[in-house]
Amino acid sequence: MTEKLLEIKNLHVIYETDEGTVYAVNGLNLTMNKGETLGLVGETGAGKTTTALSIMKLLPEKVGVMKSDCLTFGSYDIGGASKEQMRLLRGKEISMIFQDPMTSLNPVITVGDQIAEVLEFHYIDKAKASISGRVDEILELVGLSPERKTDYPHQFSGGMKQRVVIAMALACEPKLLLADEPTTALDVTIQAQVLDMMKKLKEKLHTSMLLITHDLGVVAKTCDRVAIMYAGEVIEMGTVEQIFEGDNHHPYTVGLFGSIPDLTKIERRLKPIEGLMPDPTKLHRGCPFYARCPERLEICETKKPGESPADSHMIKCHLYTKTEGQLQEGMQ
Amino acid sequence: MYRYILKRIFMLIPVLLGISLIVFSIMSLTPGDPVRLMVGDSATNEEVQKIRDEMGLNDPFFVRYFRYVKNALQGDFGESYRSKVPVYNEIFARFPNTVQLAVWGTLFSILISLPIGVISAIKQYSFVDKASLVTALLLTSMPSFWLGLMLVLLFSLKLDLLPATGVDSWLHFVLPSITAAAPTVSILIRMTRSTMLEVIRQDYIRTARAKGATERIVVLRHALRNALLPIVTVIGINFGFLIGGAMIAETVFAIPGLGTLLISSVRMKDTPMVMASVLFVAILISFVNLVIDIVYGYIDPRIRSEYARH
Amino acid sequence: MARETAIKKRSRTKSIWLRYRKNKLAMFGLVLLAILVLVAVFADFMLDYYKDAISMNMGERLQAPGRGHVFGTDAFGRDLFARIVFGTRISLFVGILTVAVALTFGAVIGATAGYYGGRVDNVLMRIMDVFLAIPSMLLAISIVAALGTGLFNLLIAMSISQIPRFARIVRSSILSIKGQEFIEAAAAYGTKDSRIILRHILPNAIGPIIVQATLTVGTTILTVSSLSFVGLGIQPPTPEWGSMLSEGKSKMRYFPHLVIFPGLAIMTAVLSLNLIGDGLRDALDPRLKN
Repeated sequence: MTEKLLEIKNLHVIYETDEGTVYAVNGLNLTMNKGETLGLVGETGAGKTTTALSIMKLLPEKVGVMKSDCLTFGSYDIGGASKEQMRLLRGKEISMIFQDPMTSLNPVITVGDQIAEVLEFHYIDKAKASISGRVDEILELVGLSPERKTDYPHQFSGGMKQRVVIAMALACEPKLLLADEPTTALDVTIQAQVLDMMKKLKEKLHTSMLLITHDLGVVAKTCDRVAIMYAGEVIEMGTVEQIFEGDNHHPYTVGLFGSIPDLTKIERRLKPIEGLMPDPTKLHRGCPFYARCPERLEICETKKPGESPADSHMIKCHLYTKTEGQLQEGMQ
Repeated sequence: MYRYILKRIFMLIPVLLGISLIVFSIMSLTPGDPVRLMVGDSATNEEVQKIRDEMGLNDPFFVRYFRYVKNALQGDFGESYRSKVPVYNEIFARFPNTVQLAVWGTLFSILISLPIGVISAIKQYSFVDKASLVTALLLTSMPSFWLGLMLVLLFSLKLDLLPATGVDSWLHFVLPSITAAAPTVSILIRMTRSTMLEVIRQDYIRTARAKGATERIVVLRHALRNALLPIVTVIGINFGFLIGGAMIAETVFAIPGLGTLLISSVRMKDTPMVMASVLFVAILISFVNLVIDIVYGYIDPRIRSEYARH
Repeated sequence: MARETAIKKRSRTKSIWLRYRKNKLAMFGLVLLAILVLVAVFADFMLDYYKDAISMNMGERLQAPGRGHVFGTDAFGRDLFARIVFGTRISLFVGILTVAVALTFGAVIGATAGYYGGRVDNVLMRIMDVFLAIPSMLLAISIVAALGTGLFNLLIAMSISQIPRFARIVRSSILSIKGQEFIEAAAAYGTKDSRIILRHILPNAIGPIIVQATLTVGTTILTVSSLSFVGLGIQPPTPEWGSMLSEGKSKMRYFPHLVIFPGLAIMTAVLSLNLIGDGLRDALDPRLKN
């Protein structure tokens, strides 16, 4: 029986900057179940990081504004949670790791102390010795020697730094881990190692994971379900099999897969998607992919497509959405 | 760690030599013949030259310079032209007052500027922020001795709360320390503010928040610890300005220190005294910078670990 | 090609000016300085130097501000307002001249060090570093101690004390420009070194230098007034603001106007320069503002 862990309905996030308003997330719907790994895929600027930050309520203070119809995590209502309530959740129930390990660690505090910190924040009564023991435990879990906990971040390599970051995130055994491109900044050889380790840990600690990435290969290896984002919306969502195989896809997804070089085929040229992502400072009516879609219809310019049932393979496109309560294919 | 300290001390020596050379060169440009001043107009030129030869005043420049350095290292800075007393005595007597002033001034500067700078940064664009920036701007635009005079006017003459002259009690150091520290306060406030602003934007601050840290811990443990590094450096650089301010403050508040000594010596063309005073102040500043460097080596783990493993 | 660069330069200057104009404080500083400059230049039209500022008039000594004497009179009966007006001329003159001289020499040293690099750079910068290790006021005092007081010696002392700072700034500006490719291109054509420096490097490096120059005029005015206050700068009866403060100090208990107004004058002048300097800095590179 799959339990719903995270539910987001109609999330809007805007950034109020000096140069104008940026519409980062526009009506996003997302659900996650317990124990699964959901891949959040999209190009740079699609709004993936913003979505994750919204779940943590870590948007830049005066600049980021979010509102939603529903944003719940287990039994917690994140949408309405106070600052202190969120603070208690962060690091304990929901953790987040970021892209660049080189700058994510505080350079003047030892690695051991930084890991101990997250335990101290959330387990106030624990004795120092037991916290210290836990730090050792978690370091070993990520493949580092506990002897190194008195070292400083600059004494570690990039891959090892990321392991420390992961250790910090998982120390309190959170239910949900938000991983924002955790291996993008690492060497390819290290990437595989770190991903493997994350997978094992996830299973051991029963953590669900939201893995943000633009690398479809990583998604194929590690995710159970996939959500594809474009211009602040989820335009396709389903299981890994539904997304990677199958015949029905959002035209953007088709383009995404088509632009990956395939070693097994002989192709003369890669097929990029024409055009650029729409300007985030302008709200678009209709489907955001309209300008670049090779299969666009007239209705796509003015009307936003609805979303088909979330449980199954969801494709947010006029080619697939029901108009009369039925799934239709290919309208003239 | 000792290697680091030794290295820093070694680097200090050429700087001190350089300073002494520059000061010596400048002083040797002084017109007038001290021997002539001593013996008066009645002596003949030959007699004057003979005395000059005896005293070694006709020797080539570098010979005189090295002789000076050699003597100085043994504590002999010559005799005052005016009082014929060894220069060292006078300097030694006045040195503590100036040092006291500098220490109080530095403490005052740090205790005022750091909190204001941090609060300004955290609450950017708030009233505190704008007020502190305006204050810093005004402070840096006024001569510190004028501030001293205004303080005396208000606190000593009108309100009669604090003494205006002398060094009898710690109260006597209050107004002079504020006067001496004033130029550095504005620099330090702005520096602290801009460093904190930069640090708060760093990724590791976001990580700390993502771990569930309270704002207080984010600011104090994560942000400030990192901001302290450049701030400590600035405090060291500021010390030169502070000493300058202290010397001027001494004249406003009639404190018998190196500043008043230097100025009166210059007015009376007492070259050995001037030379020694300038050297002493320059050495004091270099020494403080050395201490700051060493402190920095301790608080920056990147340097500490580099030297600890050897 | 030359026309294109000329047009580009003009519009760049214009955009800097437009950014500067938006900054209210910076404009205020500019207006303030303009007023001071006008006062300094046209002082002779309103007042007579010897009659109003120098000659003593014991019958009117130590009068509080009021009719006839806007700022009051000093211990010698001289009108304080007139003295402050003429003091403006002196302070601005010394400040600007000092910076002009220091900038010229500093630029030559810094440009040579930055452009040629290697041993030349090393030696020159070492020397500058030693000079910088001595606080500028101390250095100025030493030079005055050696040469004696008076305007000319003061100018020499102040200029020398500021040369190292400009040398450093010019050098670092040049180093950052030198690395850019269009310089390599010019050298590849066989352009003479001096021409490269003058035509290509300096126009780009000029921004931070101007900012520093403006701010340094301010600090020079402060230092000069401090030196005059302790008797090592400009000598009485010349109406320099610092020496006016020194004269007024002994009597300030009952005649505070003697120390309030000259001090305010100094603050106004230096404040205007600081505002302009900060404004220029922000206008040149808006990214530096937080």
